[in-house]
Amino acid sequence: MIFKCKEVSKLVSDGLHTKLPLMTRLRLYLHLRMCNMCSAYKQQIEWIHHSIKQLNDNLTQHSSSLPPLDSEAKVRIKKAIDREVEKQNTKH
Amino acid sequence: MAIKLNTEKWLEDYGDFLYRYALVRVRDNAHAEDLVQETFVAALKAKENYQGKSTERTWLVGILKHKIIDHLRKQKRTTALEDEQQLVDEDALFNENGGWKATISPWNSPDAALEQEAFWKILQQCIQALPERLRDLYLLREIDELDSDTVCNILAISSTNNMWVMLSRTRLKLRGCLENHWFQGDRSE
Repeated sequence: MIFKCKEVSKLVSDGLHTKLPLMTRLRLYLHLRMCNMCSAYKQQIEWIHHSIKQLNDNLTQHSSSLPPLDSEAKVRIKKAIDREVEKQNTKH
Repeated sequence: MAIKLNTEKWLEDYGDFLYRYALVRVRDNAHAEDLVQETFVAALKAKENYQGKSTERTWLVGILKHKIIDHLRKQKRTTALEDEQQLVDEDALFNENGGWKATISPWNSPDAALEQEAFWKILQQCIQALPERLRDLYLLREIDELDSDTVCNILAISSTNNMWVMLSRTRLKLRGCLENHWFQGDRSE
Protein backbone atom coordinates (compact mmCIF):
# COMPACT_ATOMS: atom_id res chain seq x y z
CA MET A 1 0.00 0.00 0.00
CA ILE A 2 1.34 3.37 -1.05
CA PHE A 3 1.11 6.29 1.38
CA LYS A 4 -0.87 9.41 0.60
CA CYS A 5 0.91 12.78 0.56
CA LYS A 6 -0.98 13.78 3.70
CA GLU A 7 0.41 10.75 5.54
CA VAL A 8 3.87 11.40 4.14
CA SER A 9 3.88 14.95 5.48
CA LYS A 10 3.37 13.53 8.98
CA LEU A 11 5.92 10.73 8.58
CA VAL A 12 8.74 12.95 7.31
CA SER A 13 8.05 15.23 10.27
CA ASP A 14 8.17 12.29 12.72
CA GLY A 15 11.37 11.16 11.01
CA LEU A 16 13.12 14.29 12.24
CA HIS A 17 12.77 13.09 15.82
CA THR A 18 12.61 9.34 15.70
CA LYS A 19 13.69 6.38 13.60
CA LEU A 20 10.67 5.07 11.70
CA PRO A 21 9.98 1.31 11.50
CA LEU A 22 11.67 -0.46 8.58
CA MET A 23 8.49 -1.13 6.62
CA THR A 24 7.36 2.45 7.01
CA ARG A 25 10.72 3.66 5.77
CA LEU A 26 10.49 1.41 2.71
CA ARG A 27 7.00 2.58 1.85
CA LEU A 28 8.05 6.16 2.42
CA TYR A 29 11.05 5.69 0.15
CA LEU A 30 8.82 4.35 -2.62
CA HIS A 31 6.49 7.31 -2.30
CA LEU A 32 9.30 9.85 -2.31
CA ARG A 33 10.88 8.25 -5.39
CA MET A 34 7.66 8.89 -7.29
CA CYS A 35 6.50 12.14 -5.75
CA ASN A 36 8.46 15.33 -6.40
CA MET A 37 6.22 17.44 -4.22
CA CYS A 38 6.69 15.31 -1.11
CA SER A 39 10.43 15.16 -1.80
CA ALA A 40 10.51 18.95 -1.95
CA TYR A 41 8.42 19.14 1.22
CA LYS A 42 10.78 16.76 3.03
CA GLN A 43 13.83 18.82 2.01
CA GLN A 44 12.16 22.04 3.09
CA ILE A 45 11.13 20.93 6.57
CA GLU A 46 14.55 19.37 7.10
CA TRP A 47 16.13 22.66 6.08
CA ILE A 48 13.88 24.60 8.49
CA HIS A 49 14.63 22.07 11.24
CA HIS A 50 18.38 22.73 10.93
CA SER A 51 18.22 26.46 10.19
CA ILE A 52 15.95 27.34 13.08
CA LYS A 53 18.76 26.48 15.51
CA GLN A 54 20.46 29.71 14.42
CA LEU A 55 17.58 31.78 15.71
CA ASN A 56 19.24 32.41 19.08
CA ASP A 57 22.41 33.63 17.39
CA ASN A 58 20.33 35.97 15.30
CA LEU A 59 18.88 37.42 18.51
CA THR A 60 22.28 38.69 19.63
CA GLN A 61 22.95 40.68 16.51
CA HIS A 62 22.50 44.42 16.56
CA SER A 63 20.38 44.34 13.45
CA SER A 64 18.24 41.59 14.92
CA SER A 65 14.77 41.01 13.56
CA LEU A 66 13.36 41.93 16.98
CA PRO A 67 13.58 45.30 18.77
CA PRO A 68 16.08 45.91 21.60
CA LEU A 69 15.01 47.11 25.06
CA ASP A 70 13.98 50.74 24.82
CA SER A 71 15.74 53.30 27.00
CA GLU A 72 12.89 53.67 29.49
CA ALA A 73 12.76 49.93 30.04
CA LYS A 74 16.50 49.95 30.59
CA VAL A 75 16.13 52.62 33.28
CA ARG A 76 13.44 50.56 35.02
CA ILE A 77 15.55 47.40 34.94
CA LYS A 78 18.64 49.31 36.08
CA LYS A 79 16.67 50.54 39.11
CA ALA A 80 15.59 47.02 40.02
CA ILE A 81 19.19 45.80 39.73
CA ASP A 82 20.44 48.69 41.87
CA ARG A 83 17.78 48.00 44.51
CA GLU A 84 18.89 44.39 44.75
CA VAL A 85 22.57 45.34 44.95
CA GLU A 86 21.73 47.89 47.66
CA LYS A 87 19.80 45.25 49.61
CA GLN A 88 22.74 42.87 49.44
CA ASN A 89 25.21 45.54 50.52
CA THR A 90 23.21 46.51 53.61
CA LYS A 91 22.98 42.84 54.58
CA HIS A 92 26.75 42.41 54.66
CA MET B 1 34.63 29.66 45.63
CA ALA B 2 32.23 31.76 43.61
CA ILE B 3 33.54 33.33 40.43
CA LYS B 4 33.39 37.10 40.25
CA LEU B 5 30.61 38.23 37.95
CA ASN B 6 30.57 41.50 36.12
CA THR B 7 27.08 42.44 37.28
CA GLU B 8 27.60 46.12 36.47
CA LYS B 9 27.67 45.34 32.79
CA TRP B 10 24.89 42.76 32.66
CA LEU B 11 22.20 45.06 31.38
CA GLU B 12 24.45 46.53 28.73
CA ASP B 13 25.90 43.21 27.58
CA TYR B 14 22.92 40.85 27.78
CA GLY B 15 19.82 43.03 28.20
CA ASP B 16 18.81 43.13 24.55
CA PHE B 17 19.56 39.48 23.93
CA LEU B 18 17.52 38.31 26.94
CA TYR B 19 14.70 40.67 26.02
CA ARG B 20 14.47 39.34 22.47
CA TYR B 21 14.74 35.79 23.71
CA ALA B 22 11.77 36.42 26.00
CA LEU B 23 9.87 38.39 23.39
CA VAL B 24 9.86 35.50 20.92
CA ARG B 25 8.30 33.34 23.61
CA VAL B 26 5.79 35.59 25.36
CA ARG B 27 4.80 37.97 22.55
CA ASP B 28 4.25 40.87 24.92
CA ASN B 29 6.75 43.74 25.40
CA ALA B 30 5.88 44.53 29.02
CA HIS B 31 5.88 40.88 30.01
CA ALA B 32 9.21 40.27 28.28
CA GLU B 33 10.68 43.25 30.11
CA ASP B 34 9.42 41.89 33.46
CA LEU B 35 11.02 38.54 32.73
CA VAL B 36 14.38 40.16 31.96
CA GLN B 37 14.20 42.18 35.18
CA GLU B 38 13.26 39.10 37.23
CA THR B 39 16.13 37.21 35.62
CA PHE B 40 18.71 39.81 36.61
CA VAL B 41 17.37 40.06 40.17
CA ALA B 42 17.27 36.27 40.55
CA ALA B 43 20.80 36.05 39.14
CA LEU B 44 22.05 38.63 41.65
CA LYS B 45 20.49 36.67 44.49
CA ALA B 46 22.10 33.46 43.24
CA LYS B 47 25.42 34.86 42.09
CA GLU B 48 27.33 32.93 44.73
CA ASN B 49 26.24 29.75 42.96
CA TYR B 50 27.82 30.67 39.66
CA GLN B 51 30.64 28.20 39.12
CA GLY B 52 32.01 29.56 35.88
CA LYS B 53 31.22 26.28 34.17
CA SER B 54 29.24 28.08 31.49
CA THR B 55 29.50 31.59 30.13
CA GLU B 56 27.67 34.38 31.93
CA ARG B 57 25.27 34.59 29.04
CA THR B 58 24.43 30.88 29.08
CA TRP B 59 23.94 31.06 32.83
CA LEU B 60 21.57 34.02 32.55
CA VAL B 61 19.65 32.42 29.68
CA GLY B 62 19.24 29.32 31.84
CA ILE B 63 17.57 31.41 34.54
CA LEU B 64 15.35 33.15 32.01
CA LYS B 65 14.40 29.82 30.46
CA HIS B 66 13.17 28.58 33.85
CA LYS B 67 11.07 31.70 34.27
CA ILE B 68 9.53 31.25 30.83
CA ILE B 69 8.78 27.59 31.53
CA ASP B 70 7.13 28.55 34.84
CA HIS B 71 5.01 31.02 32.94
CA LEU B 72 4.01 28.44 30.32
CA ARG B 73 3.11 25.92 33.01
CA LYS B 74 0.89 28.40 34.81
CA GLN B 75 -1.03 29.33 31.69
CA LYS B 76 -4.49 27.89 31.70
CA ARG B 77 -4.44 24.99 29.30
CA THR B 78 -8.05 24.41 28.53
CA THR B 79 -7.42 23.26 24.98
CA ALA B 80 -8.87 19.78 24.65
CA LEU B 81 -7.42 17.03 22.52
CA GLU B 82 -9.85 17.76 19.71
CA ASP B 83 -8.86 21.39 19.65
CA GLU B 84 -5.21 20.48 19.47
CA GLN B 85 -5.92 18.45 16.38
CA GLN B 86 -7.89 21.12 14.62
CA LEU B 87 -5.35 23.86 15.07
CA VAL B 88 -4.25 23.67 11.47
CA ASP B 89 -6.94 23.03 8.95
CA GLU B 90 -5.50 20.22 6.89
CA ASP B 91 -8.39 20.33 4.46
CA ALA B 92 -6.99 23.59 3.22
CA LEU B 93 -3.73 21.85 2.26
CA PHE B 94 -4.78 18.42 1.02
CA ASN B 95 -7.53 17.26 -1.34
CA GLU B 96 -9.99 14.49 -0.53
CA ASN B 97 -7.52 11.87 -1.82
CA GLY B 98 -4.83 13.05 0.56
CA GLY B 99 -2.79 14.77 -2.18
CA TRP B 100 -1.33 18.28 -2.05
CA LYS B 101 -3.78 20.95 -3.17
CA ALA B 102 -1.16 23.52 -4.07
CA THR B 103 2.06 22.71 -5.89
CA ILE B 104 5.13 22.24 -3.72
CA SER B 105 8.20 23.37 -5.66
CA PRO B 106 11.80 23.17 -4.48
CA TRP B 107 13.31 26.29 -2.90
CA ASN B 108 16.19 27.99 -4.70
CA SER B 109 19.43 27.98 -2.67
CA PRO B 110 17.66 28.45 0.68
CA ASP B 111 20.96 28.82 2.58
CA ALA B 112 21.43 32.23 0.98
CA ALA B 113 18.33 33.37 2.88
CA LEU B 114 20.06 32.77 6.21
CA GLU B 115 22.50 35.58 5.40
CA GLN B 116 19.69 38.05 4.94
CA GLU B 117 18.25 40.04 7.81
CA ALA B 118 14.91 40.33 6.01
CA PHE B 119 14.57 36.55 5.97
CA TRP B 120 14.94 36.32 9.75
CA LYS B 121 12.29 38.96 10.12
CA ILE B 122 9.90 36.89 8.01
CA LEU B 123 10.79 33.77 9.97
CA GLN B 124 10.05 35.59 13.24
CA GLN B 125 6.72 36.75 11.89
CA CYS B 126 5.84 33.25 10.71
CA ILE B 127 6.63 31.86 14.16
CA GLN B 128 4.55 34.57 15.82
CA ALA B 129 1.67 33.83 13.45
CA LEU B 130 1.44 30.23 14.65
CA PRO B 131 -1.42 29.34 17.00
CA GLU B 132 -0.11 29.96 20.53
CA ARG B 133 0.05 26.36 21.61
CA LEU B 134 1.85 25.21 18.47
CA ARG B 135 4.29 28.08 18.77
CA ASP B 136 5.10 27.26 22.42
CA LEU B 137 5.59 23.61 21.52
CA TYR B 138 7.72 24.38 18.50
CA LEU B 139 10.06 26.73 20.35
CA LEU B 140 10.53 24.40 23.32
CA ARG B 141 11.16 21.37 21.15
CA GLU B 142 13.05 22.82 18.19
CA ILE B 143 15.03 25.69 19.64
CA ASP B 144 15.33 24.93 23.33
CA GLU B 145 15.63 21.24 22.41
CA LEU B 146 13.80 19.94 25.46
CA ASP B 147 12.83 16.26 25.30
CA SER B 148 9.29 15.15 24.42
CA ASP B 149 8.18 14.16 27.91
CA THR B 150 9.27 17.46 29.41
CA VAL B 151 7.56 19.44 26.68
CA CYS B 152 4.31 17.49 27.02
CA ASN B 153 4.46 18.03 30.76
CA ILE B 154 5.04 21.78 30.53
CA LEU B 155 2.33 22.35 27.94
CA ALA B 156 -0.10 19.72 29.28
CA ILE B 157 -0.19 17.86 25.97
CA SER B 158 -2.04 14.60 26.50
CA SER B 159 0.36 12.22 24.74
CA THR B 160 3.59 12.06 22.80
CA ASN B 161 1.64 10.89 19.74
CA ASN B 162 -0.44 13.96 19.96
CA MET B 163 2.72 16.04 20.16
CA TRP B 164 4.00 14.48 16.91
CA VAL B 165 0.71 15.41 15.24
CA MET B 166 0.98 18.98 16.49
CA LEU B 167 4.60 19.27 15.37
CA SER B 168 3.76 18.01 11.90
CA ARG B 169 0.97 20.56 11.60
CA THR B 170 3.27 23.29 12.81
CA ARG B 171 5.75 22.39 10.07
CA LEU B 172 3.03 22.46 7.42
CA LYS B 173 2.05 25.91 8.59
CA LEU B 174 5.56 27.28 8.96
CA ARG B 175 6.65 25.95 5.58
CA GLY B 176 3.57 27.47 3.98
CA CYS B 177 4.23 30.83 5.59
CA LEU B 178 7.88 30.88 4.43
CA GLU B 179 6.77 29.81 0.96
CA ASN B 180 4.20 32.61 0.71
CA HIS B 181 6.26 35.38 2.24
CA TRP B 182 9.75 34.57 1.08
CA PHE B 183 10.49 31.77 -1.34
CA GLN B 184 7.63 32.38 -3.73
CA GLY B 185 8.84 35.92 -4.33
CA ASP B 186 12.38 34.63 -4.55
CA ARG B 187 11.37 32.32 -7.35
CA SER B 188 9.56 34.88 -9.48
CA GLU B 189 12.43 37.37 -9.39
